[in-house]
Parts: sequence; C-alpha cells; structure tokens
Amino acid sequence: MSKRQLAMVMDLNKCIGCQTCTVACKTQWTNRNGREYMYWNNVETHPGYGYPRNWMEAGGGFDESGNLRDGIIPDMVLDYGVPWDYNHDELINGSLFQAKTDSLEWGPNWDEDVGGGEYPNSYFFYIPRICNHCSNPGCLAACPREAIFKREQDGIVLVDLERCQGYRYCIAGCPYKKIYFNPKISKSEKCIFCFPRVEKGLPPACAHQCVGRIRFVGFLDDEAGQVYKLVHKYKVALPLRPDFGTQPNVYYVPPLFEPPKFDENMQPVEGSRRTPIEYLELLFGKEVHTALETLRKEQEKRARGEESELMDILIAYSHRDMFRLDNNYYQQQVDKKLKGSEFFKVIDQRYLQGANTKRVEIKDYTFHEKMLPQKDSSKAKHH
Amino acid sequence: MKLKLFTLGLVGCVSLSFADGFEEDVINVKKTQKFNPSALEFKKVKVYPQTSVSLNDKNTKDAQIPELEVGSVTTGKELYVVVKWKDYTHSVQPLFTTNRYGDGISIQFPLSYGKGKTLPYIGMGNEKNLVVVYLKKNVENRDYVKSFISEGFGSLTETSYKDFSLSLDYDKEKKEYTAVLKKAIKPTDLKTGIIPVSFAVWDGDNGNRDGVKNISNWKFLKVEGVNPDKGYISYLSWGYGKIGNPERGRELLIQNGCIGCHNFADQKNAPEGLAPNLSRIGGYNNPVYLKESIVNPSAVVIRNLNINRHYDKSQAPDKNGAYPNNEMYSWYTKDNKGKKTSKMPPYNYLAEQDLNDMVEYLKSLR
Repeated sequence: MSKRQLAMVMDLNKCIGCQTCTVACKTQWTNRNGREYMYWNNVETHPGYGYPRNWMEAGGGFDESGNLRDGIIPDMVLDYGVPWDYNHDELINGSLFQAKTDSLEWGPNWDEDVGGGEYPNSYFFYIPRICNHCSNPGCLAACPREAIFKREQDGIVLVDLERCQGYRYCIAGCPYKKIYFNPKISKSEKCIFCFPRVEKGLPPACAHQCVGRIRFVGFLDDEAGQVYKLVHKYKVALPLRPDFGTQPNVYYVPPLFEPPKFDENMQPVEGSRRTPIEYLELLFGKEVHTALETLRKEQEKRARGEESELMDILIAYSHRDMFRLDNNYYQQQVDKKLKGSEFFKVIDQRYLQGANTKRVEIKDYTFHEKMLPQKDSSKAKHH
Repeated sequence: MKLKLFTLGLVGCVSLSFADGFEEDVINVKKTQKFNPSALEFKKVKVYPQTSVSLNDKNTKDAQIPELEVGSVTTGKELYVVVKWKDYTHSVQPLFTTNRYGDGISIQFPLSYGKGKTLPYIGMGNEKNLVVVYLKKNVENRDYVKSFISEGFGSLTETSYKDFSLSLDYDKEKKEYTAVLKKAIKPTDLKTGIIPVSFAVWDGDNGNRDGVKNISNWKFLKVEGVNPDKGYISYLSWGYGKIGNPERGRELLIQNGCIGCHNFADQKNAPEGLAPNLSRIGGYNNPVYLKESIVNPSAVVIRNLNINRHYDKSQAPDKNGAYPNNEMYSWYTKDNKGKKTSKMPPYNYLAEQDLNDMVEYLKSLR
C-alpha cells in the first residue's frame, strides 16, 4: 500500500519490563485530553492476559481468505483498566490500608510477572507492544468512513480526526487492540510512530528511551540498515501473531535465553526449555524454530570468538546504527553539526526559562569567579 | 400572477388523490402562525434495521424500535418535524467508557426535490442526489447536534448550518423520546408541495451507532394548501399497492441469478459483502428505487462500505507484504474520467410483469 515502510524490531531477550518506553510514550502523548487511560506503548507479561485484557481473543484482523473478521471493543474498566488511589490520608485515623475503589478486579499491568509454569520451573518474558503500522491494517479496513490512512512515504498508519466520527469499528477491526477510543473528543486515536520526531530524524520516543536498547528503527527496504538485516537477512525478527493477517511491521526477536528446567532433585536439566515452544509458535508462527536456531548458532559462533554480524547487531552498540531514518539523514546532520557533548547543549533558552516566568536580570555572569583565588598567570607562563 | 397560481393550487389540492398505499407514506403538514404542537397530525412510521451493509462489531444488536410517530407543521418560514418513539432504555454515551453508546436520531432531506427530481439513495444520498442530514445523539457533557451534507456511505461531511435546531427529550415515565427539528425553509421549498424526508434512530443500549440503526424509507411531507406536481407524484408513488405476484417475483430473482451476489431471506449463498444484502430492502426503500436499481443499477452507484475489508490473497503481496484489495468485492468499476458504473448488469430487458413481480417480492422483504 505504501511506497516505503518504517519498521521497528524489538529484541525480547533484552527486555527487562522496566516500562521506560511506556512512560516515555505516556508523557509525550497520552497523559491528557481523554487519552489518560490509553497506553499506546505497553509492556505486558507473557504468558498472560495482556493489555487490554485478552486482546488476542478480541477478534479483528483477517481470515484466511482475506476478509475482515468481526471483533469487540474492550471495556475501559474491565479490560483496559483504570488506576485507583489508596486511603493514605485516612491511615492516620487508624483506618486499614485499602484501595479507594468499589471493584478491584483489573488494572493496567495487573498480571505483571505472573507468567506460566509451576515453581521452580515458572517462566515468563515481556512483550512491549505499540501499533504495528500493519501493511494491511485491520483498523483501516474496518472504518466505514475511510478516516484511517497509511502514509505513502513511510507506511505510518494515522487517523484523520476530521473524518473520524467515533464509531469505533476500527477497534473491533484491529486484532492487536492498538487503536483506542478517546471519549472526550469522541474519536479514535492511536500510536503515531512519533511521526513528528521521525520526520526530524529522531526515532520514536519509546525506542529512544529504551534502557535495554532493545529497539531498532528503520526502513524495511534499507538493506544497509539493521532492521533489514534482522528481518530479511537473518530472519530472526518475526511479526507478532502473523495469523491475524494484517502483516504487522513491528518485529520481535523471540526469547531464546532462559534458565534451564530443574528436575525433582532441583538439578538443572541441560538443554531444557521452560517456555513451551508451542506458545512461541502461537505468538510468532512456525518461523520461530528457524529464528531460534539461527540465534543459537550465531551465539555459539560468537562464544568461540568468531565473527557474528548478527550478534554484533543485537548487542546494539550505537544508536547511530540502531536508528536509521531516511538513509541515515539524521546521523549525517548530527555528524556535520554537533559533536560529542555539544549534542546536549541547549540552543533555545526560552524553554528553560518558562514562557510566563519573569526574567531575572543577572548582568554579571562572572561573580562567582571573582570569589575564587586569582590565578597567577605569569607563573603559569614560566612553566 | 403569484396569486393566480396559489388559487389554482388550492383548487387542485381538493381533488388530489394518491395511488393505493401511497397515502401511508404521506405526512400532512399544516400551516400555522407559530409552532403549535396541537396542530400536529401524527402518522406511524415503520423503521427497520439497516442490513444492506454489515459492520464488524460482534456486540451490536438490532434496535428494538419498530416504529416512530411523526408530525409536522410549518409557519411558512420554518418547518417543524416532531418525532416520537418508545425506547425502554435511556442511553447516554458516558464520558469515561469505551464501549457504551448513546441513543440518537437523524432526519434527512434531499438537497433538492420536486418536479423532475429523483429521490436520493436512502443510505445518505448518492453522488447525483445529495442529502442534508440533521443528527442528535445523547453524549454526556456535550450537546451533540450536527448537520451534514452527504452523497452516500462514508461521505458524511459536517456543515456549519446555523438555521436549524434539533432537540431530544426522554420521558422516563412514558419511556418515550420526543425529538423536535426546527429548520428554516424557503417559500420555494414549500411551493413544491411535497418534501421527501426519512428517519433513522439509534438504540445506544444495543450498541447502535453509524450503520447499525433502524431506518425508514422516504416519507413525504405534504404541505397544506399546495398542489404538488402530478408528474413528481406519479414518479414517487410508482409501485405502491399490489402490483404483482411476490412468489413469482422470488422465483424470478433466483432464476435471473440475483442470488449469486445478493443475500436475502433464505438465500444466503453469496459471500457476505459481495453486494448489498437485500434482507430488509423493502422496509427502507420505496418501490420506485427498487425498480430503478433492477433496470438501471448505474443510476445510483453505491460505494462499498470499505473496499479494504477484503484483500486478494491469490495475488502476490507487495514488497511490504501488503495484499491488494479483492476487486471482486468492489461494487462498481471506474473509468479514467472517474465515472462509476455498477458491476450489476442492467436488467432492462425484463417483461413489465416480471419486473413488477420482482419488485412486489422485494417490497415484502422487511
């Protein structure tokens, strides 16, 4: 549909579930204006219900013949979950500590770290999820007003808020439930792949902030890019639930590394896997076998001290290589103009000052230097 | 000259009588000095769930609203349309939910009507015949009243009309809604004597919004004391009363291959979405449209709800993995000038009685 396609790869082996991406996204886009309940980026524990609750069972996407499937619209309280407060203010009067809500049944990230399996062989891993900016988007297909479009230049899927009438069929149509209803404006909204940042050569906030450096961003047709290499060259990055038929453009390096199983005597069983391969197959399709095999082989290669481009990519040495937007346009600009710490230099003081803050005039910026003992410049010259 | 015409109109009015059954779709509009609810003459208007196109939310259900009561008066400068209906659940779209919907009503008029004009497609008009839609929905914290111009599915475009008001009140005792539309009207509009109008109601409790709604066919506001154009009336009233044998019509629909694309009644073999579903087609379409859509399907070309709902997996995907749309589901072809032609072939060779029998059967689908 689009001429080019931006994509993201997330290496699940390195995700620690810290939610830094979630916070980066929330503070940038969804902490206001009716978006408060939305997490355009969330990190959920697998196996688990996910966010919104049971999204994998909520319909949408396409059937095997390519026809849109019916779906449902999750409930704000029961499925997305809303935060609640505790009665901290009443504790001083001797009240018992309790939540200030009538029903504590579900909340965002409710089943964090629960996972599957029995102690000592329990297991889980994290999946961060954003909009997949699919090549055949279910949301776009469902909209009776064609208010959703896919950008020609990079395949980012956006909602035209002028056309959107808040009918919410897009939510039923998206199998990932990554488009949300904003009840304040009665329109649908979704992850925009931080397009205003991307256009300036910056990666999406979630990718840039990721402390585990698990996210790679680039164009799928940029053969020199790491995204291309992970997806097409090594084929270790796989789309989530490819059976939903929307051709997602967020790819995941499936979890390979995990502790082995323990036997009855609490001895580790060599070569054992805790996470059932069937579960990984459900999430990433049959290709997960070859992807895991490739990862294992390349890891062994690197362990023997041999070269492995794949492992070097996954180590994620530098943002410069991880984020390739518009054929490195962004990095070229940085190289030309900003070196080292200059990158962090504030160029527009107004934002630090505050638009409504009264300017305090400090005429002499060197007053503190005058308080220090004066250097003897003549001595220095002699040495 | 004007006076003379008016007198003629009055005389004509007395002698005017409509074809069999057409009277049922006519709502008399009295002329009053100012809005006077007691002058309203209410008429029952049946509404049917829209099933021509289906939407993709599993949790929506048909509204339990079988009929409305509609009355109308005019002051000469304003037209008032009052609509009442029973709804046992008063639903307002709340501020803090994602999956609850408000009740609502819309009233649509053709943008132009009268002598020589054809009726717009009931589903919010078509490219040649635009409609004006007035909408009121129950939304918490907002007065959700809007007006639109539209030329068919998906083309609803908001206007900034200020010359109308639409109120919606719920009587908790009677479990009844009353909507009052007041709109400015020009003397020329009244002169046509007959103003087509149609209605849609949404039952929020059953997840109704957008195309999930109950709708009426075109009704006709007959303005007191004005004699409408006879040609226009005979166009509008074509096919009312009994014009054929419905059982034979049903057989003819099967024999002529209509069931290859259309589903209706017990005929459900066509892939969903290949063509409009005809299950309730007679409920919300006037006979003249049913005839026209058989004889000349390209007269009104209806847009698919969204062609992207079906993609063609027999084709190769593009470099980004996207499959092209399945053209089989497109309801029309477009030439390089943008002219749309319905994919349905014109059945203009049918014998008149065959056509009448088919229309008679389609009328019964409601």
